[in-house]
Amino acid sequence: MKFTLNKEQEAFRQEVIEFLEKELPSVTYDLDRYHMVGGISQEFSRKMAAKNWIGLTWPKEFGGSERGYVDKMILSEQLIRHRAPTGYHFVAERQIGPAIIKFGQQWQKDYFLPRFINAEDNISFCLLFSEPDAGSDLAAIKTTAILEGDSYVINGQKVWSSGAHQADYGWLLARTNPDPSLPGHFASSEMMLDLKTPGITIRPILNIMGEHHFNEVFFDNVRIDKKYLVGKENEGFKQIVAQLDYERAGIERLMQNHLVYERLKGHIRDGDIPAHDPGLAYWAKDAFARIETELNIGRMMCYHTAWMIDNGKRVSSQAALCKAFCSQYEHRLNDVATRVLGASSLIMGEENPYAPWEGLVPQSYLHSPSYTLQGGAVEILKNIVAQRGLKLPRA
Amino acid sequence: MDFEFSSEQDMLQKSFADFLAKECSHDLVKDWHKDEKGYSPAVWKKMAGLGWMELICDAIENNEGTGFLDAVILFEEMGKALLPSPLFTSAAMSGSMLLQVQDEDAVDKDLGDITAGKRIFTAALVNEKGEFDHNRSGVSAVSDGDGGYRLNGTRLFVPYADSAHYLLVCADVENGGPTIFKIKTGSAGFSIDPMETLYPERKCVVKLENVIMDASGIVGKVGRGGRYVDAVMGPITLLKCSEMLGGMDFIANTTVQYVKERHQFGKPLGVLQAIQHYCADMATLCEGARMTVYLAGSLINDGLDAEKEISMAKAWISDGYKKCTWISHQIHGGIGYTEEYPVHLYYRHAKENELMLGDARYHRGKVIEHMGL
Repeated sequence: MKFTLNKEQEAFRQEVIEFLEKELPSVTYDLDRYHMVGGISQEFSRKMAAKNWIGLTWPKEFGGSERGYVDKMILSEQLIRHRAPTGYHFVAERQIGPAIIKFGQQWQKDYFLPRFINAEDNISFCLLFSEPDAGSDLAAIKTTAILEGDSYVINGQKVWSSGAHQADYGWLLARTNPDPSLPGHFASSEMMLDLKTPGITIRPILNIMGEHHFNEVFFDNVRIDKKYLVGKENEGFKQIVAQLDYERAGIERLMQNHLVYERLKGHIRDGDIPAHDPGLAYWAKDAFARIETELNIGRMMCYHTAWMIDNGKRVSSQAALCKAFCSQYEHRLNDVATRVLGASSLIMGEENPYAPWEGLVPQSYLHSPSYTLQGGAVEILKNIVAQRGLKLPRA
Repeated sequence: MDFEFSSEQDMLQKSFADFLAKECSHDLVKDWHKDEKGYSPAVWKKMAGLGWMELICDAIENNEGTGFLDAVILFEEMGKALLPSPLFTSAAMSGSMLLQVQDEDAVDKDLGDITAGKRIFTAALVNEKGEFDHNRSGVSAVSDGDGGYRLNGTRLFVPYADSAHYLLVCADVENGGPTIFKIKTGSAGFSIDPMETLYPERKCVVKLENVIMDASGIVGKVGRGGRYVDAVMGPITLLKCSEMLGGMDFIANTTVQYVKERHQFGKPLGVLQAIQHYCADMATLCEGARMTVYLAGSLINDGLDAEKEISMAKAWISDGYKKCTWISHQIHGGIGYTEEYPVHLYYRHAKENELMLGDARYHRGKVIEHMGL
């Protein structure tokens, strides 16, 4: 047992830090989203590609480096700490690539994987999973993709599709067997499609901050070649469950708001707390020590999950536990920041002279409710821990 | 990184667990709590025969750079079984204080006696107000002008003082500062009264009234006592956390087992989502506890500073263990509230140890201090 990095891992961490300190200043990207993972810069993604750091865990035959998930965690942690713009390749690398490697047809591997690994043009994917009547209960999807000759004909509606308005491709879960007596678990398939295909309508959903991030996506007799099927017909649900473990095993969920943590730490260190309120000074430190403890625990949980993947262990329960814990940590962090700053923390606007930390806190606080929902609501994750981890009976 | 015990550690853990399963049932634990000594000398002898005290002292010395986790594993198993014994106070607390002394010859014999289980030492670190802070020492040592000292003061929560052969106490030497004395229990002026507390493992009030000590009773050097205690507080606290982790793990597992077996409304309790979420919460508290304890333990193994991580562990576990016992009581319902059922042992153990060696709030303060905030 050793909960600390070994020599090689520490050397890799240093290499990543040196790379980021050297390369990041020359990269330009949208700073409005600097507290999110989603900064987008193909230029930066190509620099990472040149280091072979996209597809770090992928097998060598697909251009990867065949390194472990612990190494990937070391890389991800530093990317987030430095707020590096990884949005250009993020979904392709984390979700789509591994799914293609595991389930994809040969042509899909040949075509997409080199493009992902090298951060080439047109590699942006959005996920088309949730539907109006299929949220936590993903198996309840109704969108159909019916094989007619050599094509699937898709009809239905998807919702909460992040970035669908900017993406090149969609990654779809649809019922390939329309028989309603068959549960969705055994009747759905995964497929990819070009979002410019005729019959697709994308409409924005504004989030509580008025930002356009999510979309509704409508399919009206959308016809795609059957070669876009990924994996086996009617096994899509099983395939997705395996992918979700990887989605939940990331450190993004813990550290997406790390800037808030850094600013809060600085605020407390610099004694920026009004002297007339000794209760606040005490409380702020106590609350921050809780945050610090939870951050460290969450970080070890992430590394633990990565290590389990590297050692071929089942991670569903561990990844769910980790994600539930980390997303709640982020919400608490943002809440503590508002309470330490007081009423000023409500003031929005990067340019507003009255807004502390360039208006960072109200933005983060408004983002918070989404963390404990996306990728599996905390309650669903607890069900997974109870049923798959602790082996409690299902109702 | 390696998040698993090595095969040697696995074997060690199994040997601890097997021994405790054989020697220490909950019924025996309750009997020992009422026993006049508060522990079983027969079991103590067997523990010594297995080398447990030696393992702990070796772990604390950590010369090999790999041994500290062995003691973590041992105390985790002790915490699951709740075996009452002077192991913590004698081998861990007293042993680690003696190990601070540079002059090995001076403490070699005592350490040998401790590791052989021949002599029981106990450490008296809590003052009359129930505070651990050694700088507010309630024990004074006044020079008698003849090279000796007269000790006066009261210590609370002294584990197994009535069975111990020697007591280590940090006394304030006039013009000399905090100094550790090794006092033979039963010396003139030394009195012991058992204390009744919320968790019935044996502990006593020790009163020192003009106890005469000559200079040979000084452990290490005059004025160094504070430093010795400071230096051992971290590892000792982490071993206490390990014991609490064991208790937490046991109560969480026991409760999960219970909801699989107990039926209401014609179904096992465990199908209810409210119950499942309680169980997931306990699993999360336990996983967090493991992360903090093993992280701090790994740092100590590597010879690195772990003070902040130790405080994070005690802060998390003080709250987390207690919460697990609350959940366990809630889930067990009436049966858990009976004397016969073991849940209350853990409920008591969690509360008492929450407040020992600094509670969660105290250690959060330490976290802030170690971060320089």
